[in-house]
Amino acid sequence: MFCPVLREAEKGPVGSGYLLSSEFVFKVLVVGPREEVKDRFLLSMDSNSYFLECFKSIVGVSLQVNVINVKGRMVKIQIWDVYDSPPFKSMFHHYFKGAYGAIVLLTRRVEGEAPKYIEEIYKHCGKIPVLVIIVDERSPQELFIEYGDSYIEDPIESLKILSERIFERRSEPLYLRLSYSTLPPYAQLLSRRKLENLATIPLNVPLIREVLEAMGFCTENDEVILRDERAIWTVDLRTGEVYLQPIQCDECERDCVKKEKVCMILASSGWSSNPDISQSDLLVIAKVYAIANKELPPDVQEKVNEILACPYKENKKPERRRRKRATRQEIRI
Amino acid sequence: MSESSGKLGLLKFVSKRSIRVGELLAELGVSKDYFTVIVDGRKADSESLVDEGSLVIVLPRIAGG
Repeated sequence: MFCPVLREAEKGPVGSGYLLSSEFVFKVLVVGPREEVKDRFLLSMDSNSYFLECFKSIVGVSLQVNVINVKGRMVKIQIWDVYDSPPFKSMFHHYFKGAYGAIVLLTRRVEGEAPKYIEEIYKHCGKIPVLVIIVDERSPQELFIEYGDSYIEDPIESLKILSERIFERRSEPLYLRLSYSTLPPYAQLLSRRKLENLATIPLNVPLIREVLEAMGFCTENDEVILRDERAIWTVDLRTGEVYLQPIQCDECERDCVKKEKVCMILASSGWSSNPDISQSDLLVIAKVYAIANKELPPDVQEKVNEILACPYKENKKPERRRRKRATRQEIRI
Repeated sequence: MSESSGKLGLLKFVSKRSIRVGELLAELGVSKDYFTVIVDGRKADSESLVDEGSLVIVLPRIAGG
């Protein structure tokens, strides 16, 4: 039987008035196989939160706090977004400890995995209230017609429903539907958490290597080296960095031989049927694919052309020759 | 819905039926905003079939310079 002891909010010297005004503190877990879906779900509630840090890549969990009003009671929800990835699974029992409720966030395609997640939560937390939210690609209207009360229009509603169930001590799982269209676009997530944070998510090098090899690429020393008539490309699978080294031409004096870094970032979100492949992994695979197939976007191609242009050809070459000739004349004098 | 391929713990999507890439993209809600689709290591078009156990990768668009 689920029987939480509802804690009053801590009243320490540090904290805003907003924090101090909350009467209850609930630790809530958010779990699910798709990190970007969870991120977008949490981002949609971000305007109402006052603390957000992306620690997920480092310790396997990120925290977000929302304060909501549940039937006249101010409730502080500590959201623990648990990174569902093998390196951190051994830490689950630590992260799950003391949770009052949980949200299992699944896409329609993997909704059959709900019992597995519920079992994992019950194993570590006992029978706490669990919401299973299926993110569905259908329109809000279609979902409302099909699911009625089980359809939620706004992700923040889920926190209110879960808090009510915590107060009412109802532990049976509740299934809800949410439309993809109500989640903020991935681009907004990128700008919110900044690309640096995304880049800190560790790359799954063995998995990237396996995928690239299946695509016919040769990976040696965790690098993919691609050659064409003008340059040698190196993609470092450990860091995702891309380097371009022009092939030396006869005209110059080896000035253009140096390696130059080419920056490529995500402009949309990708997807994989393998939930272990993160957006960062997909970006690395996309870079290799784009280079190999000469399908670089125009802005990247422009940078590449700049690097590959021989500095002594065309305009600069005559000037260089004139300068050399002038130097010889000076010597003769 | 998913199973281990036994190699590097790679989980593969198991579809209950064959589905076309176009249908899958529509279901995912990414009908336009992607770079390319790879099914089992090969480039796929919207008419390509995704069979049971296929590894599907929808590559994101990239930008930069």
